[in-house]
Amino acid sequence: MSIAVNFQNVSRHFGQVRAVDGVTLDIEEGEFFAMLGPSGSGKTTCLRLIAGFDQPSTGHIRIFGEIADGLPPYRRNVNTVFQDYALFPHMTVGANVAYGLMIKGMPRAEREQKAREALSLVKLNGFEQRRPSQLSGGQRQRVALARALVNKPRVLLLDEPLGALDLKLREQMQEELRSLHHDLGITFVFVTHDQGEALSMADRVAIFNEGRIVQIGTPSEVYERPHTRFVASFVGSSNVLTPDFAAANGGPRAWTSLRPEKIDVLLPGEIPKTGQAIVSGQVSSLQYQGAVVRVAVNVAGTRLVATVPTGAKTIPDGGTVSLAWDRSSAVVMEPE
Amino acid sequence: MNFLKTAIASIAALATTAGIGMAQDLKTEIGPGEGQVDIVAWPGYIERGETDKNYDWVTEFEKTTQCKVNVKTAATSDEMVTLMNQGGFDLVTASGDASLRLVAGKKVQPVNIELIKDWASVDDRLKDAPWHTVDGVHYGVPYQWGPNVLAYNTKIFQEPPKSWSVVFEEQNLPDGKSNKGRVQAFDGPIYVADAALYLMKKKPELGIKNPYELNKDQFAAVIDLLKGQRQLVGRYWHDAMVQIDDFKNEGVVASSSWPFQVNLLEADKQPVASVVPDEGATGWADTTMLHSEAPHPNCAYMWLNHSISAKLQGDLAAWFGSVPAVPAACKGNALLTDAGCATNGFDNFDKIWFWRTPTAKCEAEGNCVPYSQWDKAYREVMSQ
Amino acid sequence: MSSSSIPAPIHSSVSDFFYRNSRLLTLLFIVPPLIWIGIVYVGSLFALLLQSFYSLDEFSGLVVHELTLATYGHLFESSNMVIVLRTTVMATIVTIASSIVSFPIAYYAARYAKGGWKALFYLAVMMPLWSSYLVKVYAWKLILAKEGIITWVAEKLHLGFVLETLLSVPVIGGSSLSFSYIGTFLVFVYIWLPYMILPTQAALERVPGSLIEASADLGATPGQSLRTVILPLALPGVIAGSIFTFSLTLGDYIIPQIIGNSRPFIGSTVYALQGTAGDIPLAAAFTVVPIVIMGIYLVIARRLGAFDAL
Repeated sequence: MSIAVNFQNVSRHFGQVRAVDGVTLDIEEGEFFAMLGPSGSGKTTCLRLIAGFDQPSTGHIRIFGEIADGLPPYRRNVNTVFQDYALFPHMTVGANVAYGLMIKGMPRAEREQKAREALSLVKLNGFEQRRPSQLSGGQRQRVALARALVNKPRVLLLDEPLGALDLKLREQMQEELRSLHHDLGITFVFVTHDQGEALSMADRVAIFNEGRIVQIGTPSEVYERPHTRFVASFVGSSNVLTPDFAAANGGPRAWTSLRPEKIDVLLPGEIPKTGQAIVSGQVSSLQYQGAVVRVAVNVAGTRLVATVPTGAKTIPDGGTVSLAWDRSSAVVMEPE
Repeated sequence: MNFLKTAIASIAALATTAGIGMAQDLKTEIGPGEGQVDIVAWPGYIERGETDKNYDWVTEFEKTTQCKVNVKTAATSDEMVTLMNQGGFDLVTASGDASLRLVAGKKVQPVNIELIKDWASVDDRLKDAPWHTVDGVHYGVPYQWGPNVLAYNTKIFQEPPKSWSVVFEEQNLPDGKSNKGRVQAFDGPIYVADAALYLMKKKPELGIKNPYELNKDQFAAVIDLLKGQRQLVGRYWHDAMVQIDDFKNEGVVASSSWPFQVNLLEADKQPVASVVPDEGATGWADTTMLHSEAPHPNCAYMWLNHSISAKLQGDLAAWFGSVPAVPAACKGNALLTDAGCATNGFDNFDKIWFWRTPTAKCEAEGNCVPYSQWDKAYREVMSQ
Repeated sequence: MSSSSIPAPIHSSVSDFFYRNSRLLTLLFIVPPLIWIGIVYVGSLFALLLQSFYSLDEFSGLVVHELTLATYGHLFESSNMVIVLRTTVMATIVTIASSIVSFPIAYYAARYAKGGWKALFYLAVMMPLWSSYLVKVYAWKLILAKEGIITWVAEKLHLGFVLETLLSVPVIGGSSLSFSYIGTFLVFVYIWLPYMILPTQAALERVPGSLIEASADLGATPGQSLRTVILPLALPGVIAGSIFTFSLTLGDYIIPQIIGNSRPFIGSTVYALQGTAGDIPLAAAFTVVPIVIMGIYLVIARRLGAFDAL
């Protein structure tokens, strides 16, 4: 496997603001790579640096081994699906999709044929003559995708492409993007602030905070083994135990992450499994979430959250419960 | 229905009153002033010392009569006619090409010269001039007059040009260069008369008797001359201040002009002088006329009286470069000096054909080319 | 005491009434301007049109109040059509030149100028509109004069011959810049430029930056982006601006009288006709010309798809 995109200590400063601050990164060819982080964390800037809309202040970016310093976007074999889709309002859907081919000088008949194929790839057969303004959000999203893919880019950049869609459509598109990625075999770089989306779609996830990458790994790695308190709370809102609390409950004296679903809620009389850590406290809130119920418990001033499958047991609001977890579920994190 | 009848009756009554008002019996006495008088005038005609404190013939008048003088300046005769048609003014300093139009349009009323105490002092040549006297009725008081002179650059012309030909026909000027692009003509159909005047002497066989009364053949010859002139003229002049600038900055060396521009150019130490060539010149004679619905007739009459005082006439002539309507003004005026009247053309009266509106009905031929044709033909000339 | 017994304040009940009858409110707001447009605007236009169907009695010089097409017959005489043609050609060239000059300025202002620079831009574009139109035209006369600034600079740079070559070109040349069509053209472009810049800039500002990035991303060089994306999307603004520059040039009567070679334009002809000549019918017929030309222009612009992106 060769490296599709390589960041070598890349920074991008806007005046005093370090939007990207010393990022080093390899994205492998054919990978579905997600950049995840809150807004302003530098993930979109990184995407724009790959596309060429912006240039690094320091450091270097290589695309398939070639240094991309100063290379304008129109000389890079990458294409972008924009957050607002950026469809040309004065062109038909067909002309939008064929745009890149027209620029390359492909004859009309040929590029129209390719545009039709690309549109059928995103299941928009027969939409060639429509105007972007006549399409729904989901359809526009597909046109944007087709417009990028028709150029056969080696890297496809997607900037929060599902952000504007409703939940149902988003789930459908997530699936379609996965299968497109599988069929085309090209590198996808996907920017999102939605951790669920990143975890469900990507082969690997880079988590951004304040211009830096705080952790890179497969979805299960970043979920199961968060390196920092930030990752733990941003990805799947984990319980973060203080060193004192962790030490008092049989762990090492360090910041520790404990996923809510790893905690068993025991009613009075129930017995924990052997080897489990156990604390008790008072239920401070119950939150019904469909498949699960989130239970917040006040344990001597520390708030722990656990999830219980709906209907498994009846937890009294304000009552006293015990919380128990396997010691292996408590993940020790790096000091920050 | 009764209401309607009443309404109609009152409208009719109003109309009758207005009708009587419009018939206008001559005023027989000047009553107390109304506190103000509104005058439409050429720029520079009514000065209150704001440009040069020596030229002020308003302040004193306002003090003695308690009539505040409001001046609305107009740049062209047409503008004057338009303003007078709108109404709300008492007096207008109308030139010959506007005065008869105003009379015909019933926008001005006869003036009772019995009430103008210095009427006797008015130049005899102007007292009954046809541009303000219709069927023996006086429609105003003469104000000033002057010739449309030939202005020339004294560096190019050591001797004053003797003929208007320098602006009408292509020729080399005394500096050896062609006059092409260096002469100007007036941007207005009335300028056709200047060309006619030139041809009156140049081609006597055409038989032009009066430059404002041209038959078809004469008119055609005049227009041919003007079409030739178009090739010489870079730009026609329209606005006095623009022409001054053209003499200063555009290399214009000869043009028909007014003494006003020549005086300002001389005052600015520009090498410009003026002459009335052998052919004579067209000219303007302005009359202060009283609006038929003047809101302040008493103050207006007071101004009419003041307007022909020798002091005002002399000062104005010095300021504007014109000739007083009152010969007495020519002597003993410090600003005009005793030579002033002669310089401004006092003795040229007989050589001057004063502006008037050409009409189809004319004495000379009985069938003349009217002003609308002049306008159309001149537009064609300019368009070439 | 129950809350319903508290009387509602008058103003709030008025608001409530209009809230429930929002159409009535809209009507109340729109009727005065409609009356204004209907009577003052359309009315005067109609009066004008009517005048053009009267004629001037050549003998007496008085307007004959009988409907006739004679005045339009006069309008189509070659001497008048030359004026129409001259004015239309000038307006077309002025419009094209203004759009070319305006575009980079508008583009810079829309895409790059920020904060203080933007304010400065608006100031710079608008300031000429605050000073008197006449003052500006007279100032240009001094700049363009034979002994004016341009000639002086050209001579200092030993480029006097360039100016002379330019002025010796037949038709557009003359004895000096201010005595030639070139001068008239330059002043027209200067005077109407703000009317082109502002709508162009507004249109460019509505083009999302992502569209330009998208075209670059799809391989378009800046030049290709300009041609295929920016220009088509800015077109409605340029057309709006051109409606201003074109119609303002068609109707202007001051500039051709001060700068140029005195050859009449529609505006100066109308001015002379309604004034000196008192030929109101022909003046009215002449003013119909720009209306017709603008109508044709708008139809063509529409056909070209200038309003598609609206």
